[in-house]
Amino acid sequence: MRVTNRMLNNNVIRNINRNLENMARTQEQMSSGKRVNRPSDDPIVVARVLGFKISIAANDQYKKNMEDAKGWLDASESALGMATDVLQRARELAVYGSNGTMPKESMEALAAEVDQLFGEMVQIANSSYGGRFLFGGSQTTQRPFTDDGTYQGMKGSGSELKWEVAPQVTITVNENGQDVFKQDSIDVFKLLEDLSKDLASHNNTAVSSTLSQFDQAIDHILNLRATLGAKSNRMEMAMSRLDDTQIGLTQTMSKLEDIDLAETVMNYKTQENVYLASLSTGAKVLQPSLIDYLR
Amino acid sequence: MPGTFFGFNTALRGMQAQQRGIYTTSHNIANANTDGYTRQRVVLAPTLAYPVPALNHPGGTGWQIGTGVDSQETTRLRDAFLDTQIRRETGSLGQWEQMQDVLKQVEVVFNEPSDTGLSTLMSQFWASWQELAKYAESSPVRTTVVETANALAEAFRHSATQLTQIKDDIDQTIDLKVKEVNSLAQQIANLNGQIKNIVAAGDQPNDLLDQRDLLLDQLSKIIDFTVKENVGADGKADGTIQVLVSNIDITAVGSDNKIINTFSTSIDIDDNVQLKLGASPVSVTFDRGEIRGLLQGRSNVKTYLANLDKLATDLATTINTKHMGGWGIGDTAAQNRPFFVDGDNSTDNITASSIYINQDLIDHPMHIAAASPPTPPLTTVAPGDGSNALAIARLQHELIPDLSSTTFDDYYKNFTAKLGVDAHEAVRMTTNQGVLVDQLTNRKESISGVSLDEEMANMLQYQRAYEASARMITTLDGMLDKIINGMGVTR
Repeated sequence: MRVTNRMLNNNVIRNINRNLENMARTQEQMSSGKRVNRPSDDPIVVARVLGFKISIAANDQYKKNMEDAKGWLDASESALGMATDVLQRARELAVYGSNGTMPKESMEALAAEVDQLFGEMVQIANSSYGGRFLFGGSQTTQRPFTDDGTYQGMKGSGSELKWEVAPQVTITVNENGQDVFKQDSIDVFKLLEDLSKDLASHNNTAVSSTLSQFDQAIDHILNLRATLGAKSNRMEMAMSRLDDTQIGLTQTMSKLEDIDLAETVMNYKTQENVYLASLSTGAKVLQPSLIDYLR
Repeated sequence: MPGTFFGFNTALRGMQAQQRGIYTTSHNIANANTDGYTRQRVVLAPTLAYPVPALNHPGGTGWQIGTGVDSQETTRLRDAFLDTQIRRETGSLGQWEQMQDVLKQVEVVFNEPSDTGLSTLMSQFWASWQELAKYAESSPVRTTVVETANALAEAFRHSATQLTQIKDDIDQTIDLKVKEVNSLAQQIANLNGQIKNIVAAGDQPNDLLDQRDLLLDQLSKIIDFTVKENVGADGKADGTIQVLVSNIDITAVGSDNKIINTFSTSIDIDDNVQLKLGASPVSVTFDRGEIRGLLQGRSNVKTYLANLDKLATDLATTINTKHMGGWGIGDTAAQNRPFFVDGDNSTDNITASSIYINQDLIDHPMHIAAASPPTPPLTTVAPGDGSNALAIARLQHELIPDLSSTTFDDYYKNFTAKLGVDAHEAVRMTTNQGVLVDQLTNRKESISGVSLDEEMANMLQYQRAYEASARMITTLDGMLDKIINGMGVTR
C-alpha cells in the first residue's frame, strides 16, 4: 500500500486521541469510584443499579418502620408489665382484705394503698412514647384516660396504628386502652375502685369475690403482653433478616457499579504507557522524509 | 531523412515536458496539506514518429525516428468509487454523531445513577409518606412530606425544561445545517459554471474539480444525495454535475446564477420538523446525514419528554385520587384537596413541566389528608390516624394500569434503561462508523494523497531528465559547430 505523510499524520493523531480518550474514561472511573457514570456506559448494569437503589431505599424505610414499631411494641409491653405489677399488688391486698380477722384500721390502710394503685394505673394507662400516648388508639395527642379512669381515646375500627414493614405487609403496633383496661366485663379501674370501696366498708366477702376478677384481668393483660412480645420478636427477626438482605443487595450493587481500584489503576497505567508510546513513536515517525537526506 | 536541426526540437520538447513535470511536482508538494487536494501527474507520451506511417515513405522504407515527448495532460489520481463509498459512510457517521450528541445531553438531564436523580427523589418521596403514616400528628413530618414532594416536583419541572431546551437547540441546529446545505449547493453551482467554461476550452480544471469534490464531501456529511454528470451537445461530459435530492437538482441555477431549489424548514402542528425543498416546496426526507440524525434525536427527546409527562401525570392523578379521599387534621367535612396541582391550581393539566404542590398544603401541612374519613358518629379524625398516608405510601409498589402495568419506579427505571440503550447504540455506531470512514479515508489517501518522499524522488527524476535534454542541445550545438565552422574551411 502506498503510504503518504498525511496518512501517517492522521493515524498518529487518531491513535493519540483514542488513547487519551481511554485514559479519560478510566480516570473518570477512578475519580467517581464507579464503573458506570451514565446509562450509556452499560444500560443493563445501570438499570440493575437503579433497581437496587430503589429496593435499598425502600428497605431502609421498612427497617426504620420496624425499628419504630419495635420501640412502640416494647414500650406498650413494658407499660403492661407495670400494669401487671399493680394488679398483682392489688390482688395481694385483696387476699389480705378477704381475711375476716383483719382489724378495721388495717382494712382502711389497705384501701388507701389501693387508691394509690388506682392512681398509678391511670398513669400507666396514660403512658406515652416519644410524646404520643400509647393506649389512645389513633388519638395520640390526648390523654386516653381521665383521672377517674374513663376512656376517651379511640376504639374499634380506625383506632389501629398500622405500619408497613414490607411491601403490602402491615403490622398493628398499638393496643387501644378500651381493649386493654376495660375488656369485656372486666374494667380494671372499676375493679380497683370496687376493691377500695369494699375494703373501706370492711366487706370481706365482697373483697374475696374480686380475687377471681383480678385473676382474669391479670391473665388478659398477660395475654396482651405475650402478643406484644411475639410481635416485637417478629420485628427483631425481620430486621435482622432485612439487614442480611440489605448487605446482600449492597454487595451486589457494589459489585455492579463500583470499580475494582487495583484493576482500574492497572488499566490506567497500561493506558498511560500506550499513550506515551503513541506520543513518542508519533514524534519519531512524523519527523523524517526524503527531504532530510537530499542536499 | 530528417533535417539538420531535427534534434533541437526533440531536446526542446524534452526540456519543456520535464519542466511541466517539475511544476506539477512543485504544485503537489505545495498542496501536501490541502484538504481535498488530489495529487496530479503529467501524462507523458511520445510525439508522432518521423516519418508518419504512409504508403510513400520519403527516403525509402524500413525506418522511423522518434521526435520526442509531449506532455498531453495533467490528471488527478482519484478513485471515483471510493468517493461514493466515503460519502455514504460519512453520511451515516454524521447521523450517528448528532444522535450521540443529543442523547448524551439527555443523559445529563436525567443524571442517573446518582444520589440527586429523579429515582432517588422518588424514593425519598415514598419514604416521607411512610413516615407520615407513622407520625400523622407530627407537624415536622408533614412539612417533610411537602418539602420532599416539592423537590420531586421541581426535579420533574427542571428535567422537562431542560428537555425542551435541548429540543429547541436541535431546531436551531437544523436551521443552521439547512443554511449550510444551501450555501454548499450555491458554491457547487458556482464551480459548475467555472468548470464548464474551462472544459469547453479543452482544458482540465483539476483544482476546481478538487474543490467541488471537497464540497460534495462536506455536503455528504449533512444530507444524502446522488451525483449525475451532465453531458454536452457533443455527447461528451461537459464537466458539470447535478446534485439530486428526491430527483430535484439542488445546484440548478436561474439567470442570476443563484440556486433555484433551496431547502427550508417548518414545524407542523404535531411539533415535527418538516424539511421542504424546491421553488414550489415539496417535503423531503433523508436516509443519512446530520439532519437525519438531528431529526431522530429530536423525536427521541420528544419521546423522553412524553414518558416523563406520563410519569408525572399518572403519579399526580393516582396520588390525588387517594389524597382527595382522605381527611386532614381539623377537617369537619370532606375537603377533596388535591395533593398535586398544575400551574393554574387546578388538576386538569398536570404534566412534568406543570406539576406543583397544592399551595394550601404548603401553607397548612395539617391539611395533608393523612387520615381516612372518620366513621360516624365521629365527625373529625384522630390526629394519629395515618391510614390514608399509608395507602398513598403503598402506591409505590402498586402496578399502574396506565403505565403498562408497571410500578412508578419500574416505569422510570425502564425508560432510563431505554435511554441508556439508545445512547449506547449511538456511541457504538459512531465509533464503528468513525473507524469505517477512517479506513476508507486512508484508502483514498493512499491513492490521492501526496507523498513527499515520492515527490522528491520525482523531482530528482525530472530535474535529471531536464538536464540531460539540455545537454542534448549542447551536443547538437557541437555537431553544428563542426558542420558550420569546422567543415570546408581552407586556409
